[in-house]
Amino acid sequence: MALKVSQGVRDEGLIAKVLSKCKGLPLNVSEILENNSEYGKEILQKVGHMRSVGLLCLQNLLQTFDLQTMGGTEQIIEIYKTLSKTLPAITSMSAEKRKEGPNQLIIAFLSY
Amino acid sequence: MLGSEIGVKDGGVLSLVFRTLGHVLEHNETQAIKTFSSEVPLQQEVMDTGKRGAGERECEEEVGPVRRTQLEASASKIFSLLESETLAMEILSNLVFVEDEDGGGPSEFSDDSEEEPMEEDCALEKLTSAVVDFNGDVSVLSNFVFHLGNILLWIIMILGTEGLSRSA
Repeated sequence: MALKVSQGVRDEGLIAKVLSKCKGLPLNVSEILENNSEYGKEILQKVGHMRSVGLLCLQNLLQTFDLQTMGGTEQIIEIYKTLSKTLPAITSMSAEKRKEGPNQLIIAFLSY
Repeated sequence: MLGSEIGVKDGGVLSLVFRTLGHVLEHNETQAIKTFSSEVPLQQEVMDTGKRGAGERECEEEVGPVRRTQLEASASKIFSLLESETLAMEILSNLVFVEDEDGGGPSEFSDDSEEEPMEEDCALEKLTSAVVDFNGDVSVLSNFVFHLGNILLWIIMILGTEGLSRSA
């Protein structure tokens, strides 16, 4: 990594900011969004996508920064634990969507 | 080419990029989502009242569309926040792979930006020398014509004076 890039990441505290984005929503908030709103599910999906991008960004940063800059070993273990939880959930969500697609089309066709 | 266009070599531009990324990532989307989730049951309540009676249906007609618009506005705000933050993190992910000029590693910015100014400099030098040569030629030619005109004028004047003296 270029020296200026690493300096910029440090100066702006971008690692801490990305880490804060990777934390999940409170359980009650995600339950409300999942059940009660037409926009809720889309918001949840976008939050999931943002978290996965953030975690992959941290994974890229891990290769170049030292342990202390990344927040210590516990923080790194937490990143990998969250990555292991988040990514399968997102991939399964998209797989379910793919399964739902044709069925919805058939239903729409039959109702027409 | 890209490097020279966005000025990656220039530290000022790069720091501006990082400042912008930091500013985008400072937004608190969680708070906006919490507020949105607290508004959602209210909308559900209003939608429910529409099914209960005629009096409450009026209430739904008055309040419902307004709340719906508010919810739409806050949802679109959350969407744009989430998208901009995702984009910022994607940019940061890619910036990690930018290397120093003398780093030895592959760098899409440095390779192009090294060649381009050299070509530009050469072309500029050639153009400058061509302009100077052309100007020099013009000045020599104009001097020659000026002197030739002077000589011809003197000859005409001498011949004219001689002709006048002969006729007299």
